[in-house]
Amino acid sequence: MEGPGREPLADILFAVAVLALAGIVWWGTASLPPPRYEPLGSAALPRTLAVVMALLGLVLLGRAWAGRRQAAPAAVGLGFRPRPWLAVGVLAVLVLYVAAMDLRLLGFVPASILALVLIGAMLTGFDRRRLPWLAGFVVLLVVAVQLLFTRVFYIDLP
Amino acid sequence: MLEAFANLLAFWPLTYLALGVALGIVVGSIPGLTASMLIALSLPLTFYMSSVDAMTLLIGMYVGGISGGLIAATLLRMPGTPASIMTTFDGFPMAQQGKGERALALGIAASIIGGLISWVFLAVLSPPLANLALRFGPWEYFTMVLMALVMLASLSQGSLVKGLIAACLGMLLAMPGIDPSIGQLRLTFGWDKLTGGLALLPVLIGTFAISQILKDVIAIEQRLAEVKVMRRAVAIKARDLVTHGPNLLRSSVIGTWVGLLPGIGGNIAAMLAYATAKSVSREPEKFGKGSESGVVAAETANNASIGGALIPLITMGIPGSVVEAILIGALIIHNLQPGPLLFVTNPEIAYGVIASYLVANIFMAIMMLAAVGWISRLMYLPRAYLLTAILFFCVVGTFALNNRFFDVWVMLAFGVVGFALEYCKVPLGPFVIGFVLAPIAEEQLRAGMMASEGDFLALFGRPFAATFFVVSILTLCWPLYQEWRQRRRASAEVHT
Repeated sequence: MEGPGREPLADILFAVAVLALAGIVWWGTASLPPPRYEPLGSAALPRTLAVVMALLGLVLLGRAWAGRRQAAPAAVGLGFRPRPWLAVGVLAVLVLYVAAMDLRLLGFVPASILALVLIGAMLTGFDRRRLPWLAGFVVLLVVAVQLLFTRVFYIDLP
Repeated sequence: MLEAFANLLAFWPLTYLALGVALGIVVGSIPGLTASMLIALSLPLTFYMSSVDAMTLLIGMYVGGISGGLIAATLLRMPGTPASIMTTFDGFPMAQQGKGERALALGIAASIIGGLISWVFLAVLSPPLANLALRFGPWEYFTMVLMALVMLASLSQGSLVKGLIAACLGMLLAMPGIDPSIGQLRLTFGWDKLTGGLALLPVLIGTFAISQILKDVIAIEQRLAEVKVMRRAVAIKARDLVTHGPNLLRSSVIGTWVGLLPGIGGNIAAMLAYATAKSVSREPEKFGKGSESGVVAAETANNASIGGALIPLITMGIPGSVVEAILIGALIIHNLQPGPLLFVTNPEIAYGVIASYLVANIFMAIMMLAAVGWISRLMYLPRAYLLTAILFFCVVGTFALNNRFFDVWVMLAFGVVGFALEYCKVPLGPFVIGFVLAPIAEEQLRAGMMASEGDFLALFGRPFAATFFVVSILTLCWPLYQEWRQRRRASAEVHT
């Protein structure tokens, strides 16, 4: 069956993102004053990079668009089941963990223990037999790191 | 130099070096963890060390990380680091034929010989090159950075267009904040937290550690085949050094030379040395099926490339690969200016790097020979524990940089960016090196333009700058010419 391959579609999306970023940079440098005491000024390099990126983005878009009808390369057997949603879940827990500390909803030790046990449990497939070991490991790790940073390096953790 | 060795042979520097090598070997041997990841994650810990100790630790990690990749490449056909890809071609077939220990012994011997020969080049070439670089002005530096970025973008795996986009993207992300030349705020979009720009460490940790962890989580169900290594069977024989002598020497020179060129890493060095060894071999048909020469060529060259890559790093402040970009970051974090002045202002660092590199290679060989059986078992550490702990260190290390959560958010964002770039097959090397080199490139370009009163063509009045510029243009045009030639040949074949 013919259809857009993963690579052309990813390339099209990437090229569009590159073009958008180049546009944002161009707009962001529009308000910068012209150079007074030197030939180039603050806007010159970012604008040049934005133009080069936009041109390269167009080339990539053109190539990906031309190749979008090509059949996707046959999938190579990985020998294991990829778990992209698990990565999304881990990232989500990580974001919540950092947000909880940043918004001062939880302190460093409880937030870290909760988040790391949850992440570890997700990675072990919520295996009940391994959960107590994992929790013990996480508690030890968090307490050791907290002591190291606060008592040895004299750095306040959140 | 002798003073650097004397300083290194004290308790703490030797301990840091041994620790660095050991950690590097362990991380390098675990598929999914890389030397770049380890070095980026260790940077926050080096704040509390002297600059010499910090560089000693990081050089140890670098040597250990590249060498440790040999174990997984040989036993599991999984390159522990990208530099060991070529080792899988013959190391794994040898392991399958029951000669795993022999492959490991040859790989370790090749690694140490490659390291020692490239150390000679490093020690001999660095001081005169640094002297030469002292005469360089802004145009020379600007064109050298340009050359490094173009070479990296052109020669990194994947398309030239993507490599160039990655370099531009990295450079652009270094632009927000106060323009250092005139103090003008730019690209902050009214966001105060961007006034200081994006710090190097969160960008490095995000791009290399978080994105790698996300990839490892996706592959969490991957099972590694159990392989046992008999430690006593891993022994280097003097006869092997004689038999493989020419290959060791040739691959060391190739590795050092390739490492010296800005932007090319150990994987390309190993590839070139492997191809050369195959082309001069009397038994080329054995390559890819368990050839000892294949393992020797690949492992010699990837280790030799480290010594080569350290030459532009300490003499000119130009990174040869991602790890060198991180090492430049480490120098900057310790308020040191990478470049030729390092030999004048901080000779203990410049010569310390050279001395550390030699001792790190010796430590690496001793540790690998003594503990290869143990190290090979570490490949099977439970991923859930390992990844959880690394994620935690990413967050704590980044927060400790400035005690602010903004850096942690930047790290997470760059983790996603790094993952997305790799998904789109955009190389991360040009991206990170563009980020590191952009401030130097801009500063030197503007200084050159001021000196020449706005005349860009003034760079052609300076022989080194003109040469670097022409090499950049040729490097950029060469892949385009090759593509055009291939198309022409293909269309000619269709017509006939």
